[in-house]
Amino acid sequence: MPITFDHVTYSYPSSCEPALRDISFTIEDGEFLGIIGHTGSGKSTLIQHINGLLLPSKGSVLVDGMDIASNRVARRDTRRKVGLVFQYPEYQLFADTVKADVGFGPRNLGLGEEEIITRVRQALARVGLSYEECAEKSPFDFSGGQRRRIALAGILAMQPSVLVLDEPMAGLDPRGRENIMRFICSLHEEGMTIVMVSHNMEDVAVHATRVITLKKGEILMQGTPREVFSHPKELRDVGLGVPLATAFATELNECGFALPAGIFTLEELADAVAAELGGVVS
Amino acid sequence: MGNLILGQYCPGTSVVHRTDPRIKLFLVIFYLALVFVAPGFSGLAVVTAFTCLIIFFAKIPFRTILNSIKPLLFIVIITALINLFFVHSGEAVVDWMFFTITTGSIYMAIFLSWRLALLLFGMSLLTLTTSPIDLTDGAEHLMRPFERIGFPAHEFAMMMGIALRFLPVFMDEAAKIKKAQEARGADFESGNFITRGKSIIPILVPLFVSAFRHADELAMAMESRCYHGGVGRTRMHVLAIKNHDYAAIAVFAVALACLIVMRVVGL
Repeated sequence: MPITFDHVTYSYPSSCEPALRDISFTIEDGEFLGIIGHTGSGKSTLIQHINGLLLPSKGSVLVDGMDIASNRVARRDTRRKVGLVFQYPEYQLFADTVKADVGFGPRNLGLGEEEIITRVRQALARVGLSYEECAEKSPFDFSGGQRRRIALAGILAMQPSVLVLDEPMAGLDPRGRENIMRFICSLHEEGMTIVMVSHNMEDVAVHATRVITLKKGEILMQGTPREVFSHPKELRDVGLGVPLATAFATELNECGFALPAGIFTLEELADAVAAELGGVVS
Repeated sequence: MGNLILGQYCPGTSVVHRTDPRIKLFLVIFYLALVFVAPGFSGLAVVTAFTCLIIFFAKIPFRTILNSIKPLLFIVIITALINLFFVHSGEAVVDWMFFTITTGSIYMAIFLSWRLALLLFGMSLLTLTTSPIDLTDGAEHLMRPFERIGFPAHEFAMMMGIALRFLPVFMDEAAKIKKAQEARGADFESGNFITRGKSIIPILVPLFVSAFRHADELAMAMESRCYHGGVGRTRMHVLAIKNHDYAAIAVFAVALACLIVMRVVGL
């Protein structure tokens, strides 16, 4: 189910400056698309177009070749297939039990009671929570990290084929971040299309298969992480950076090293430096 | 919900913005008097002209003001409709089944909704040109005499200020939560009255939760800066009445005088 943005421009009713300007790209099946950009560059506006929460002022968003602005059926279908996880999703929990909250989406899909329970069970298991233990508890009795996982389960229970996440790791401790990141990667490995907005360059560089950089509502760069992060100067100009290891490798190269491009993690950096100095590569 | 800016401050440096908040609050009461003293359409026309003058001096785009009262426009419309159908005086214009519209009811409908619209404009002008901090400052000063009989003027003003300050925040948050639930397939547009009422729960509960969270955080932040209520609290900006404040009072007094004369003469 490829999702194509065709020259999408969007302005909020209250402002004359468009929040998105002439955006064109395609989300291919099974890819992991990272979206990076400075605060206010239009990332959140962009992802709300993916499932038709916002409709373009100009241009169109095509899902399976159908324009979701003009086609109501296609829009409803898209809402089902595209799971959108907003920033701090735990703030949207509302029901008195975890079961009811996670089941909210499936119920809105009009599924039967048994199917809902099955899906809630699966979704909770997927995020590492036990149905027996938490189904009847209030979602507000859990810790922040657990609440986020419950909120994620609420989206997964709708069984989307595309998962869009807006800063899924914001405000979590390192272990929570790692858990969520690993979880997202495993979803991707199972074939789910992932679109992730992030401020963390390392996460995007390591996990994404493709990166889009936004600047004031326009696409500044898009390509593989290797391509995008080989332009540290341009990235710095729009208030972004490159992964720490990449920055270090660049500086080493300026001092006479000849490290290859596309170093994103400490391990890769260590291996490259070791190889350069004729040492042992692990 | 995105364009609801009722009670939202629109920053500026105009004369109206700079007028002392105490005076402005006082003048708003004055303005209410203007609207209620105004006799008939001619009087309301004078008040309308006067309101336009203030808007001109406040240098606020007319659209902004219109947007700010839009959510309350339904009250104006309901007022007009009730008067249109339930006032029976003068000649009947329409008499169909149990709907009777008379010349008197048309007059009352226009007169009262016009009056109400002017009141809304006045209130909206106050909040658009006065920052919440100024507003609470002014209110606190005006309520100070009541402290003698044990009324907590400062605390009351602080609560009012916080409420005003957080109104736009909650508007934003409600819009965000609504979108999040829509992404989970919630439908807020269709269904009858009851299903629609129920569909609001997924928005209201998170909104309340976040209100309590904000309250907790704010209380903590205030306490960590040693806030302990109004006793012995000094202020950084001491309010002082300047020449343009006197001028504003004079202008309002002239307007009120005009209207009283109009009323007495019977224009």
